[in-house]
Formats: sequence, C-alpha cells, structure tokens
Amino acid sequence: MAGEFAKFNKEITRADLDQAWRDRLDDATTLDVGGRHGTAIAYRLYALEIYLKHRICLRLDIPHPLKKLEIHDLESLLVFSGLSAALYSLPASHPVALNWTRLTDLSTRLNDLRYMPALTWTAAQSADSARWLEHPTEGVLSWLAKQP
Amino acid sequence: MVGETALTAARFLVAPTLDRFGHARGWDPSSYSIHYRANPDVGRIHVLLVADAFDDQDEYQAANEVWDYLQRELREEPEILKSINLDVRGGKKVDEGGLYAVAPSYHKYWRLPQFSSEKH
Repeated sequence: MAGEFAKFNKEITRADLDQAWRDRLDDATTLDVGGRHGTAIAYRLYALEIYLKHRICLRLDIPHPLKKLEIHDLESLLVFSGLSAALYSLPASHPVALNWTRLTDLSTRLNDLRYMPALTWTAAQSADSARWLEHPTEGVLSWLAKQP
Repeated sequence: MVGETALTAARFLVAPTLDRFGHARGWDPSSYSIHYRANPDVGRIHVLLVADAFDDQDEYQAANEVWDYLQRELREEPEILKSINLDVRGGKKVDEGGLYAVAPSYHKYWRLPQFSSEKH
C-alpha cells in the first residue's frame, strides 16, 4: 500500500535529527573524557547515521523521517541521501573515501563496541575515529556537510 | 554498478590483483593479507590490504600506490573500479585490535600455494 510505504515517524522531526547528530558528537567527546572510548566510537557512528537521515529529510523536503528508512546500513542511507554519486566519484584512495570505507566497516562491528570490555578501545583509537569523521578536510561528516 | 556480482568480482578479480601488487613489491606472502566483502544491495566491493610494509608508511601514500596499481591492472573493468571501497592497514595496527581489527564481515583471500610462488 503506497501510504504505508511513505509513512512518517511523526515522533521525530527533521529538526530533532539535525540537533541529535550534533549531540551524539558531543556525547562522544564527553565519553572520551570519562575514558569510555568504545562507546565514544559507537556514538560517532550514531552521529553519522543520524546525519544521513537528516540529509534524506532535507533532500525529500519532508518534516519527519520515513519509517521505511529506520535502518542502520550506512551505505544504503548514503544512497537515499542522494550523496552516493558524489562520494563514489572520489578516487578510492582519497582520504574521505578511505575514511568512509573505514566507518562503514566499523559499523558492521557495533556488537563489538557494545559487548567488548572498555579496555579493548584506546584513546588514540577513539581520536582516530574522530579524525575519520570530523577532520576538516579528510573527515566524512565534514565532507558530506559541504555537499549541496 | 556491479550488484549481485560484487562478491564474485571481489573474490576472483580484485583480491587476486591485490595479491599481485604484494608479489610485485617482493613482499613475503606471510607479511601481507587481503580481505574482501561485498554489499550487493548497493553494488559496493570492500577490499582491505594489510601489510607489514605499511607499518612505517603514510597511510594515504600507501593507499595511493595501491589504487594506482588497481587502476592500471583493472583498466578494462571500469565498472568494477568504480565499485571499489579501498582500505590499507599496517600489520602492527591490526595486531593492536580494537578499532583496527579486521571486521568479521570480511572474507580472507586464500592464495593457492603454487600461485604464491609464481613470478609476475
């Protein structure tokens, strides 16, 4: 049924998503200060996922996210955001493309981030995940934010 | 877009090409490994080259060298090239684990012994 396919999640607004991805990045910073680097890394992945869902709302000019897109697959979300052609036009060795690959690979390991002991993840590793995402020229989120 | 053939292309085309890269560098086969996975829904091939030689090399320079090689060797397969998500990593980093561990979603590329000893 067409109506079901395009059903909104009216409990969440586009503005909520726009704030939430920023908040998850702040959460990650706070978790790092507390030495919880694995959870900080996970929160950066959540930030990226929420950011892509926000971009989908912008692209479709809709006030709420779609229920059908309540998924966690970053590569699929990138497609629906309309940004995949731009990202995949970069050479595969481009820093942004490399970091996108690393983040999508990491997103397949969310169970590790949930269930492995905190000592599995170091401050340096968390800093690397922040670089993959937020570095001004190499970070995936920084790059996506610059795309029209 | 490679679609349903992504895993086959990764296993039989891209991974062996990365193996030839290592061989051409004169690397000992035990000093590097190749890992691949595919997301056929979106037509993406992920390949990861782990090498001890990358331990002391800038990661972006290493990735550029690998990508240049793939572009040369797979120039007849532009659709495959466009579908590749590349990563490179030093062996020490992988041994450190955590963020740098190879994701279990990757398959390891196993070389045939006679292939590994061939000169290319």
